[in-house]
Amino acid sequence: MNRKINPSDPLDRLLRGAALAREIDRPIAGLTWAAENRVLGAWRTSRSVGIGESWMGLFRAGVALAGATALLTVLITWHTDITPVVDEVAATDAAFNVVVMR
Amino acid sequence: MAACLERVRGGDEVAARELLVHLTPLVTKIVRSHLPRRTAEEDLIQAVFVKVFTKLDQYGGSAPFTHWVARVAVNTCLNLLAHERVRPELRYADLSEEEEAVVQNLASGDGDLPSDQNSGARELVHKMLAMLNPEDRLAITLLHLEGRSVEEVHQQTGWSRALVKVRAFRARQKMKRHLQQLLKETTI
Repeated sequence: MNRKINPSDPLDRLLRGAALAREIDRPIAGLTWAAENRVLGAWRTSRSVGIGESWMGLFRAGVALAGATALLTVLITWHTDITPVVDEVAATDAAFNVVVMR
Repeated sequence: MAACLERVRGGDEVAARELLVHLTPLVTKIVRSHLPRRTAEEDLIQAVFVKVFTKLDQYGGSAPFTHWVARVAVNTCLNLLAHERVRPELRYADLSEEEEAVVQNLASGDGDLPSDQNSGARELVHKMLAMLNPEDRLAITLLHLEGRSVEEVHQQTGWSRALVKVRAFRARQKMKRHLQQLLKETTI
């Protein structure tokens, strides 16, 4: 820490002494073969889960699109059903009757 | 490093092994400084690496990769330390001969401790740190024992600069109280 050491403060003196003490430098060994493989195994699993999730997302989007299309189709059909359709035959009949009556 | 990281993200296993080897000294050093009691060093190193590799997508690239790894390592240690019991008190009778000599010197002298008492001082500081909570312990270790700057601690822990200073101040106050108690006991 960039602070001045107070030479008469016991805590400062203690911390300074502790900081100056060299810890016994233990050599840093690499990870063991087993540990390395466990780490890489976890990494591979997380990657495959990630890839699976992206496919799942695509599937969900597809389902949503299909649902929306189906709903739109139902709405259009319903709209067509409630629109009154002119009975062409009835109209022709009426016109025929008029002509005959004349 | 950036190229290696890209290859790892692309699923290259050889690059992943290279990255693992490259990061091992950094992670080992951090784990050794903050190793909770009764936790095997290799288990903790492995846990840090599993986190680093499975959360690789969360690294945004705004800070150097080694800083991000250091932060993951520190936070993993901190999470484990949070479950560790704080040592209730430290009495003069609990000290080793070396530590007693340090306390006696602190009670009587001024200035730097003699160099042959530095290891005793370190042992004593470790015992006093065991009485602090994990965050305070980390603040003192990083700032006073490892000589890091507030900025470095901020980067490594994710704490704000103000929080780093506040934690260090509070931790020092607690340590001062404990040390005063020990110094009082030497004079009795």
